[in-house]
Amino acid sequence: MTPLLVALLLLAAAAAGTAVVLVREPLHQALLLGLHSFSLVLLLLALRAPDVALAYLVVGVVAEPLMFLVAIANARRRAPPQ
Amino acid sequence: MSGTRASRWLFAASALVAGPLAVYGMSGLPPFGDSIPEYGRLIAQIALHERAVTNLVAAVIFDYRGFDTLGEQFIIFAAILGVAMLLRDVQRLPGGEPLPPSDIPHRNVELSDAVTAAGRVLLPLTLVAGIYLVLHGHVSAGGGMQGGVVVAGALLIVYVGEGYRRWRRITPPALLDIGKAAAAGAYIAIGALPLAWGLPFLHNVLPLGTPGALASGGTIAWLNAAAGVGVAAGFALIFHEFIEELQPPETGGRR
Repeated sequence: MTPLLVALLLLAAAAAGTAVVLVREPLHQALLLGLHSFSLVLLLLALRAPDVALAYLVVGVVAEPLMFLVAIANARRRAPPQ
Repeated sequence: MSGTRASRWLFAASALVAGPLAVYGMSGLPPFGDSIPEYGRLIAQIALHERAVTNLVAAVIFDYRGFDTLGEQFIIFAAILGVAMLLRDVQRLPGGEPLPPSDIPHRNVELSDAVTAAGRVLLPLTLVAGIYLVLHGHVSAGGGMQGGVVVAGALLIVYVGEGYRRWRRITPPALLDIGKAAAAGAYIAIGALPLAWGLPFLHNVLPLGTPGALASGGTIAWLNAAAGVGVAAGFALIFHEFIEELQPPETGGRR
């Protein structure tokens, strides 16, 4: 395991996590959240924890952003822009 | 404004206490990534011979710490119950009779052809990957928990690509309820089986087989499969409750 790789992935996760907060557009936030989760998945792989990475791939990259995407889509459908 | 200021002071005060405590706590940790703890070394030495599994994580989860996993199963069980009790509500007909959930009307959302086509390619691949992960949990990386989540995620592709009605038809909640309960029951039943011979709870009573083969690991393989079914059904149930919540009000949704 290379510490440099781990450091880079930690930085990527921190950057994506910060971006989720700084970007104020909900749709972009949901997509960035998926990117943040994906960097954590790569970090788990680099730390040789494929079991955890697999579970987190589905929960963090697929299910969680999807819930936000569905919620955003429903909110938009109900309140069309004036 | 003063509320914000007060909470900032509160944060500063607690950070002053918690920060050094966290640093102090972490200062005792072994060096990053270069040592295997005593427990891990011990498991690595004995698990292959004792339990005939090549994935030592599975040996820990379903044997050496199998009782903890039973607790985890029931944490998921309780979480799903909690979500269901908070979010599930009974739709009523004008006469006051409860409406069966399958009859609740839902607006047909126009689906993009591209999403539907992508979903039809991805669904079988993801489903097979999930089932593979569950079945090979005791042989290679993966396992019931991980594979179960992948299977539930694969089913979610049906909702995205095919819409609510088909998702509901392909994953009937009544069936998922049975699957979740049966899986939790199976875990206890496999654990209780050795009691008949006067052996401890969760003791292996099945043939161990050849390490690395699909038929190996004795009870570990079966506990792993039970966990896979339970986690897949459990996550699908949670998805159900949230997706139900998102249906528009004029068609029977909550809000």
